[in-house]
Amino acid sequence: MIEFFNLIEPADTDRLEQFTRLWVQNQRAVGAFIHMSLRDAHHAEDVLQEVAADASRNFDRYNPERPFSAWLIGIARQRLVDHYRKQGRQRAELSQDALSLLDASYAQVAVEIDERVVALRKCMEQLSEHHKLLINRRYGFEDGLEDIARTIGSNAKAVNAMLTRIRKLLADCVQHRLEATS
Amino acid sequence: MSEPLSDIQIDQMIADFIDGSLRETDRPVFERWLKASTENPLRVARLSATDYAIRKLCQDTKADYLLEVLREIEDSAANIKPVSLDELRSNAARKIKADARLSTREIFSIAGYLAVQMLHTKAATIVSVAAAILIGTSTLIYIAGENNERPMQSAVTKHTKPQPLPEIVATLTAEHDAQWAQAKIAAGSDFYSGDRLTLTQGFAQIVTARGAVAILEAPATVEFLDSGNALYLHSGKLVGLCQTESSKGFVVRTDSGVATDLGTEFGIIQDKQMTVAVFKGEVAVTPASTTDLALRSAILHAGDKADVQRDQAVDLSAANKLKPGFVRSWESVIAPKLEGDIRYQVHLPSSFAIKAAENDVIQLFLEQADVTLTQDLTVTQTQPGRYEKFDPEQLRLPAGSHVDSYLVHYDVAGLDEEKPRRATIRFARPILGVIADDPALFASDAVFALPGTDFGPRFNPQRPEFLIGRGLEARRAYPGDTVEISEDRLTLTMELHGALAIDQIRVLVQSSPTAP
Repeated sequence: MIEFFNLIEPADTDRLEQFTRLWVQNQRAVGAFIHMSLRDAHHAEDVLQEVAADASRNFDRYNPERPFSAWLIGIARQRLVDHYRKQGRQRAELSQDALSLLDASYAQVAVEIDERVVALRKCMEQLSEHHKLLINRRYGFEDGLEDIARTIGSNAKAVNAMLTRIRKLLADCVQHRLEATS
Repeated sequence: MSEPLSDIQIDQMIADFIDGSLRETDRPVFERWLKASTENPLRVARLSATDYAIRKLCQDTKADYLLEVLREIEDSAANIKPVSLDELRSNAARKIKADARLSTREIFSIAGYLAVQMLHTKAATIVSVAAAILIGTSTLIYIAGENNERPMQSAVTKHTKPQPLPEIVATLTAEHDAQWAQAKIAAGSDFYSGDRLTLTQGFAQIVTARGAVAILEAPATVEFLDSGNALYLHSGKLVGLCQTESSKGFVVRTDSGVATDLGTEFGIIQDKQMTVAVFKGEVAVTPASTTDLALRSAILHAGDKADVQRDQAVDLSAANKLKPGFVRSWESVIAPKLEGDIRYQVHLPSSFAIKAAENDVIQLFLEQADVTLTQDLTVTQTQPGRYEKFDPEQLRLPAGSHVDSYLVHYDVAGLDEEKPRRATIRFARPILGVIADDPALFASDAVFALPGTDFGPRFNPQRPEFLIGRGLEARRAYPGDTVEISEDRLTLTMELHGALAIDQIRVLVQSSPTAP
């Protein structure tokens, strides 16, 4: 009978441990890559889990001389192509050239996601309480712009503009910190 | 020639691109800008990575909030009745196994439930356990589930040193006019490897640990296997539905052969032979054989039917002769008749928090069948009429009432758009009560919701940023939501807007008199 879930055998504890360790070290990078490429958090989680399953199934094909994150991102690329094919639409409706440029940049940035999160934590501390509130509501509880606008006595367009500015501020702050430490 | 873009224009364009709201007319401009310099794609990537990192950090903020809530609960723990640690683990395992692919949101919900239950047992490690689970990742649990199918055990044992975890492989989620040869079988019953059930009358819906749905039609006998995604159909009629990725690979074994789902909807009759009919997707069938190991699997496609007999190659000549006669969905057995912008959903999600179960239409779920109220229950409305306000009325359904509980849920897909939806539900039995205000909804969760279901946080005046409404009472400021109970109490008509937060109504219908 066909084996549909031919993952690492539970008995092969060394390989399982090795895989798990590598996965833990690199999952944030591949997760970031997928989230950046896909943007839909729910679909991104699905794709990430598919990548995890693919990687564990094919772990014996991994070449330890290559970075594990690059191998995972390679799998993720294929899974993203499958995802868009299943969805029956082209990703972001950009040309293949443009998407390739973005892919390469996403991969480059994704591998340093841990450093970015550390830097971002510092940068977030510098935000005003009001800006922290906006960010928390939008990103923490995924509240709608209208909803946020009503409770702070504003409108959706203004909230969107504020959030764009805050994100830009944070991105600049993170980049500055990363460059300073490197 | 167009003018060069300003930095502000570029930032807005990148932000729109990341949000998925880049206008059609801006796409060529964005693409030209992207290709103009190698630094430009990096700029998009950096902003995109920051966006992703912000989301991650905000999840930590939610974790802090949860721990605050836990501490508050800890203070009032003395009023909570004790339960056993076994019960705690069993419930948690059941919940996790209902869908091996957990989102962070779901882990939150489980952590909250775990922690509350831990408080019941006065365990001292409440915060450390909750925190340990909170920082665990869904994907690791998924991998653990794929490999050893004991994800929750691995998450808990490090901290609580529990006894071996019971392996629940399936749960009876609903039944209709069902009679069982075995005693004490009812909706909510969990099954373990080796359990054997005979349905002598009616229909039953069973969900495996991996989320495959099997609808059994009497007379039928099934046995549960040690995999969380397989059944042995000794005799009778079964329809398998595999609507989630985790349920793919659902296996039905019979004396005649094996049917393996490849992402599909199929029916099986096991009598002297196994008849497999595929309604959607594909199914692999393999005859059982003790002699000829070369007997091969055959793939059946949508519309195919094949007879599978032991020790004989699958005869595909009978394919494409699909006969009717299977009950293909639980809706046709038990679900009320629906009209308008509404859909019946088989799977109860583990979270109804805002955006966790969004859909473009109103969704209807059967929560619990045949519940006997042990005490009076506060509801919003009980009488026929059209209602536009949903203030807590302190109306009560008396203790002893037998009810089925349906949950109406509308969480508009996407953000910020008001999309009014109209729907009518025609029940087979009278509506006894409707719960549409926040306090009564939260209070009735204890009776009707699956343990650990996340309905989002209640309003906390100390944390206004976490304000999320659930019922329809918030619509007083934004008129439009209406609910109407017909004169014969069999029909519920509604118009929901869903612009601000989720809209939920719990509808309590008189239970079937034949239910056990």
